[in-house]
Amino acid sequence: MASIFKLKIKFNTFLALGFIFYCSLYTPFESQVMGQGVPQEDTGGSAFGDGSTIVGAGIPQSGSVLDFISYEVSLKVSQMAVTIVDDIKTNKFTPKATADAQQLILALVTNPGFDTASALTEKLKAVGISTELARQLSDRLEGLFNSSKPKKWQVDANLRVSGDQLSQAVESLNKVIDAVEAKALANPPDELIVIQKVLAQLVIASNLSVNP
Amino acid sequence: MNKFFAKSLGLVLIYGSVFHLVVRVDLVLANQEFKVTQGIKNTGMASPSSRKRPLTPAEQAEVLVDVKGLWAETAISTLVAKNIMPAYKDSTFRPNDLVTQAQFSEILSRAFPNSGFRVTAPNQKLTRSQAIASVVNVLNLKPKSINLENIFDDADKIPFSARKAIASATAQKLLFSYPDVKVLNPNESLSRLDLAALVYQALVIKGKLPALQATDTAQLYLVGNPPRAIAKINNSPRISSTLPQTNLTPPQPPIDPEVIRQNLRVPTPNTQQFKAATKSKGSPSISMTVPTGFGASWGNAFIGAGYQSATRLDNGKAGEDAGFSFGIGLGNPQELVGLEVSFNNYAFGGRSAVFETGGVNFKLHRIVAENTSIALGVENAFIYGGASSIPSVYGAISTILQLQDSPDQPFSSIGFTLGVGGGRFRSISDVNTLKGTVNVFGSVAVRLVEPVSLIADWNGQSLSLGASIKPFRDVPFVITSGFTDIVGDNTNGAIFNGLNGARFILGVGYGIYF
Repeated sequence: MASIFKLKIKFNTFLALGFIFYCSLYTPFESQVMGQGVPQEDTGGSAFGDGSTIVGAGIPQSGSVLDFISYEVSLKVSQMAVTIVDDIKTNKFTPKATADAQQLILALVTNPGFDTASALTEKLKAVGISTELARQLSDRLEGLFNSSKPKKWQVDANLRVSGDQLSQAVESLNKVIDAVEAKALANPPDELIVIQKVLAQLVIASNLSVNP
Repeated sequence: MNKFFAKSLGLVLIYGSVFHLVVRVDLVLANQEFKVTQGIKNTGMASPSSRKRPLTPAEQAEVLVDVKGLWAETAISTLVAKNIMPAYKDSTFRPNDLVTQAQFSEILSRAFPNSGFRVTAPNQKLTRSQAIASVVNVLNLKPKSINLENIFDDADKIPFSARKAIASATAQKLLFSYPDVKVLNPNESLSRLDLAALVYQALVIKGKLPALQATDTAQLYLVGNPPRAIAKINNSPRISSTLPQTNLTPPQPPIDPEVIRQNLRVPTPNTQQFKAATKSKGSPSISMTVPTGFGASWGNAFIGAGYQSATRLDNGKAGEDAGFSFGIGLGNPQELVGLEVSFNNYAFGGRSAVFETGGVNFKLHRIVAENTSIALGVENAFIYGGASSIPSVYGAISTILQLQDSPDQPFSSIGFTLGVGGGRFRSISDVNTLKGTVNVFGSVAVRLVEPVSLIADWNGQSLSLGASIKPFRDVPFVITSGFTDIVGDNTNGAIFNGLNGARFILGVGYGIYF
């Protein structure tokens, strides 16, 4: 093992030296071609880099990205979203809740809009959930089923669920559940029941796809 | 004899107008009555893994065609997913099929290894009371004195030999009874659905599976559940019409709110953090005059323009200057490597006409760790029109350290770039004497607030200080500006010290994402 380690060190050192040697060889040739010793004076040289540098091409925006662990999982979750929509539309969604509650959540997760988000916020506030938590949950549910932009080759499903937004929505729901008063827990609003079921099914879909 | 053998199966998957012939090899237990399904999995597209392997039990659970909407759907899906009760080859579970002793023994041993159920007549069907007694024995539940007549309307039909076990099972909330919790039907044959519910709940009692959620339909049929626990589920119009009577005695204590909360909470989805996306829609730059280890990849193009208040080392003879550039990214730096190709036009609008002089740049780059990328590039690999810029080969590594959880917080990150290069990165003296050396360059950038970074960089010859601003959150438009040649080889040692001192530079860029 020790010899292999040494070999690696030597190999990396060789690569580094080779790279420096390559840069060195390249330079006098260029200068001679340019016929001058004066360094570049143009904008694209010393002033600053090209457009890539200016726009920060490829620079990570927020560190890392939270997403489903594979495309297959993403697909399963999105297929579950399709199933949920179908179940609600065909009155097969369980557990049953009032049609109004189901339609409100369906509208919110599929067709984001101010009215539906506000309506849900008000429903949750009515059972003692704080405005902040209610609004946060509404915001994170809004457009959940269309929250991930499909790639061009992903032509097989119309709905796309973002792993990041789903995680955030679950986090918000659990906060709401933890914050709601005990007496309200015994008779939670239908909207909360529907949200819980929708998110649970999506999460189950994300886990069923990979665990043997 | 638990001996594996292989068998082949051809599946034809129709995907659009393309037919894929997929041959699968499934391993099944030779003496196992339940054949693991190969399943035709219509995912809309044939994923690589679906071509190479049989469906996992978890996948089988998803494609079951005859359990959806059943009151015990959760139990069945879970046990199939865990390979305790395998599905059939045609993606059915056949919940109404009756269970033989041999099958019961097999399933019980999968759920509870060394369960020790004694098979006396392998093909004989079990009754519900026999199955309950066997599971109670496996769980080693303590006897409870419950008046079964107060629980079940048909308690008088319970065999004497099973009464203690059923009393214990009732007290421990092991039993489901559908469609009426007050009717046990103890002498009816055990169905696969009955067995799934029984085994599932036994595993819950053993702590090997989570309890059913409070809103699960099966809660309606869990013997011993207080009416309050299922009150919400009973609001269902479909279910309420067939509500079982649940006036159990003795009355159960109120449910602990924390138990309800636990049942309502949703676990986190199966996600993970990935290396930084290369398609971030623009961000304030982390350098001004030096290249970074990051670069454009496929789906990303850009245009930019630059201005400098004076050209370098000519004492203002040429005056101010401007240029523009554009480029495109190819490849994928996360999976293999990205290639950025760009064009620089020099002396635009000042000393020469558009496209009269210019150069082409290349940069190979790869993300090697979270928020870290390396690059190998050549600036001005091809030059034409007498541009005074020179080819410069370089290598660079850049990394972004996250200081805060979100970029919308002040001082959210700091970016570093360190590089080695020839050409324009050499010292002035080496350039003047045509020495083929290499030099070190680098930059440091602090994300002051979300749209603004402060930058300091050293290009091998001089120091530059400035800022990069992305004024609109959703528009990939970036402005980078500052002063260069502040300190270094050709600055005469002072800021604003004449034309050979610090020079004002300004760049604007726009990212294009497709």
